[in-house]
Amino acid sequence: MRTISLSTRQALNAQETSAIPIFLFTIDHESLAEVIRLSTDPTERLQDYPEIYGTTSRGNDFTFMPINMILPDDEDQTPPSFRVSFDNVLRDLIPTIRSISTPPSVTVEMVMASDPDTVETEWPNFDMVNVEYDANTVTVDLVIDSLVHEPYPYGTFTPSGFGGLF
Amino acid sequence: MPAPEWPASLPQVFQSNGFRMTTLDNRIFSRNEVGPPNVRPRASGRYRNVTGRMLFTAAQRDTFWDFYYDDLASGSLSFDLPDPYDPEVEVIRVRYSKDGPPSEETDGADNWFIAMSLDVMP
Repeated sequence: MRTISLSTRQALNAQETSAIPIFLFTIDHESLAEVIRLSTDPTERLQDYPEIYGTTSRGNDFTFMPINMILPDDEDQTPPSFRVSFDNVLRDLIPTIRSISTPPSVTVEMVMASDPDTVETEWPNFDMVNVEYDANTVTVDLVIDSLVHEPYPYGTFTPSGFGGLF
Repeated sequence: MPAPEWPASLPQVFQSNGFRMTTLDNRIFSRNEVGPPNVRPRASGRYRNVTGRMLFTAAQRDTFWDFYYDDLASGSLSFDLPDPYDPEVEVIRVRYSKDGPPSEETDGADNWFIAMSLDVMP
């Protein structure tokens, strides 16, 4: 069961609140020169001109980008997965995504605007797969590599390999 | 790199007639099955829109359009504008809104009214 702070839980359930949840995305891959950090909130102006808005959390700047996402379910039998859509305003993501051939690792964290240095909950080390893009949006799935579907054990006695047994 | 500044030779205030400052709705409502919806801010920051018109002379009008097309890349870039409420002290960062580019009209004399809609950057 995911644990979040009491104040955040109260804010999420309140009829009215000033709390603003912020989702931070950290995208990493061995071929990327720098880690890509994105935020769902224009908390502050990180650069005066041209304006770049974003969130500073634990010393790192997360650039604001309009993001729509569907959070994963908390099902016991199903691995969690996100469906995330980024606005393709700057066209920066497409060349980066097309330059890599294996799934980048994505960590999603939730913080509150009032305390961006405290991570309320996180979804670490998801793989970015099923990338779809057009002129307006980039849509990706964030999934966990589910090992439950891998065959076990590695070796089995089958008629094709051990005909004498059958 | 600093932001372009509204030229000092141009009018520094809007005409009071037609001036409007609108706060954009930053709230998100979550409907419940019964009772009033839950409400919270959607994002940080203050989002406002300024609509109004300024009175230019013919010479100022030319300066304005040079500023709009050359310095602001046809209104795509943001710039610093004297605060409509305190033009001698405060400066606000604005950008032409998607409502449309500035429009102008004249009274036949050397008076040009240019109407514009600006988004105030948080």
